Amino acid sequence: MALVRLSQIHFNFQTAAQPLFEDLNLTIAPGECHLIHGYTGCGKSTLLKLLLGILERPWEGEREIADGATLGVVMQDPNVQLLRQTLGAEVAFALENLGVASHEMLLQVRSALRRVGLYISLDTPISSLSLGQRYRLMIAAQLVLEPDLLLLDEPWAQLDDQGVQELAAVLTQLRQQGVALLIVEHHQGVFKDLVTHRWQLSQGQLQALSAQEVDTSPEQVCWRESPCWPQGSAVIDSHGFTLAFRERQKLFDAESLLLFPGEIAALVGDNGCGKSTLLKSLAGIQAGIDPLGIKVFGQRPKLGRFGADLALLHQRPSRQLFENTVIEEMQFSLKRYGLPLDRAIALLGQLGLTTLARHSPHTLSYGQQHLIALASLACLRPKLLLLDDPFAGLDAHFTDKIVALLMELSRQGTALVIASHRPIAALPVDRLWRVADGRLETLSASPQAYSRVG
Amino acid sequence: MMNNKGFNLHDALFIGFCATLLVALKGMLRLKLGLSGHSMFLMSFFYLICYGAVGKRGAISLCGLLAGMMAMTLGVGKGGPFLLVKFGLPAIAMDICLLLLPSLLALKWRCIILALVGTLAWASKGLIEGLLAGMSTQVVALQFAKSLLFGSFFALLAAMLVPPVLERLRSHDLIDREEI
Repeated sequence: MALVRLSQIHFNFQTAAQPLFEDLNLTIAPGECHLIHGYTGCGKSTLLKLLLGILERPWEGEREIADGATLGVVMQDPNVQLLRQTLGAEVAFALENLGVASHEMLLQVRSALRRVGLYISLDTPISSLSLGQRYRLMIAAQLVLEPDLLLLDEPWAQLDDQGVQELAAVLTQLRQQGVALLIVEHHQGVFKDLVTHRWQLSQGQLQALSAQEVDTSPEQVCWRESPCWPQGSAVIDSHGFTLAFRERQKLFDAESLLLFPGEIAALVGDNGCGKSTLLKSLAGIQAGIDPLGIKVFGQRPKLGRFGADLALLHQRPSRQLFENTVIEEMQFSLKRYGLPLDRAIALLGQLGLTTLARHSPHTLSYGQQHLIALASLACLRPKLLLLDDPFAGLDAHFTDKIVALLMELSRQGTALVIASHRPIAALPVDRLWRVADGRLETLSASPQAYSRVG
Repeated sequence: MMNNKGFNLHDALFIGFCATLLVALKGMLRLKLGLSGHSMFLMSFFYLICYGAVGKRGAISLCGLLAGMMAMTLGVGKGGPFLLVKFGLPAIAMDICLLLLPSLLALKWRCIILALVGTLAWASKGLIEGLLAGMSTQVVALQFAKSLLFGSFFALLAAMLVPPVLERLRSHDLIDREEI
């Protein structure tokens, strides 16, 4: 018996030239796990909205849900979904809204937390949880409603390897209990022991993928074959520093940090290890920390000091998008710094995003927002580009395009620091800055790279 | 385009939001600028935002009456029950004007015309009050002209701000109206 059945779904965004879904069919039965892959902006998140019945724009076709079946959803960004301050209050939120008696509520909350393996106090502040724990908390908040089908939107990109393992264990257990799962995900090698049906969302339809067609190669560091030899003065220079918030536990110690024009450094570490804090500190916008012994362009980083020479891409691209259209967004900083506006149009063409020029950047998918935010910074051609998880939400096609863009910037002399949970196999790097066990370890393609020049 | 379908939750939230913000801002700012007609700035702005966001007949009137009732209850401004007329009259005048206004007219011009009509209704309230109080026709006419002139200035200022604000709301997917 099917839990959910979608039949002959047709859907089109008003402004899009081609329909997003065209004769799309999907049937999900209890205990099944469906994994849906697809390129950036192909409609994976829209499909989840359609399944949940919250797609506001009109669509054609049939959506059947079994009598009494409940659907739960875990969204892409925990910061959007988590509403309350403490663990217990978050899980109880749905029950409070249903008017469940408080003594019953407590039992149900504890049971849901046990099912996801969160054995911590109900008063624990959500802000103190790791991203992996927050993911499990979001699932627990859905489990109190006893969902028959749980939908997950791209969990892999947000989580480090440990977080993915924790999540996979919880999902395996849920599937054994008869809960059906539907996961949309770019990365094909993930959750392979869990999946019963694998699909590729392409040309508006779901096409079945066999296990042989799936790329399961693990991500490894890729060193640049012809390393960029240190030239000129260091862009980032430090003889050692400790990154810590005031009156709180330190994040990590670092002995030395060097980056020269044209070099690419990968900053790798688990969720919450301090990658974003380091990037913001380099840009001079991190509050609540004492000045670090780091010099950028020979000066102490300070907000607004470096103008167009330094650009930072935030982990949540929506935080830095504000204009009404994509082209206005890309031209905003070009206008501000008196740079040629046609760079924006040329870059959109290079990335194959010309069709998005008149779209609102706020209504794009997470991956597309990442692309636009990154392109807005890249067209400035800064001397130092700091990127916080720039490949999150991107498929292989756009990952390749972004890699090509970053390599071109590097050749033009831009120094790049790219933070991510795990090494990016497609991007050759000159330096690897790995944060683990409270230390920042520095590795490079060539031993000479660590000699101080100038 | 205007349509006659009932208000949905989204519309109701926008109408309530505009009315609440209008009264709250008036109450909080308590501007004593000594400039006649400055109250038309906030009133025109929120009524026109309500029109742009909801786009249904009666939305502005509902917003105006809701704002009037809130102002009356919270004691924002002088006039007691007359506050309902003060807030409601320009809104109703704007809605009546919308029945006659060609929908093909550019949004900017529609906003300007609606703002002027609202100001006319707002200034008429003073005119009627003056006449009922037995003031001389000359004084009442002079006050009406002054209110109309200054009120129109502030209302036009607000009307010019509305299209870019609606454009922002639309780009954030908060409103779904193709014409904006």
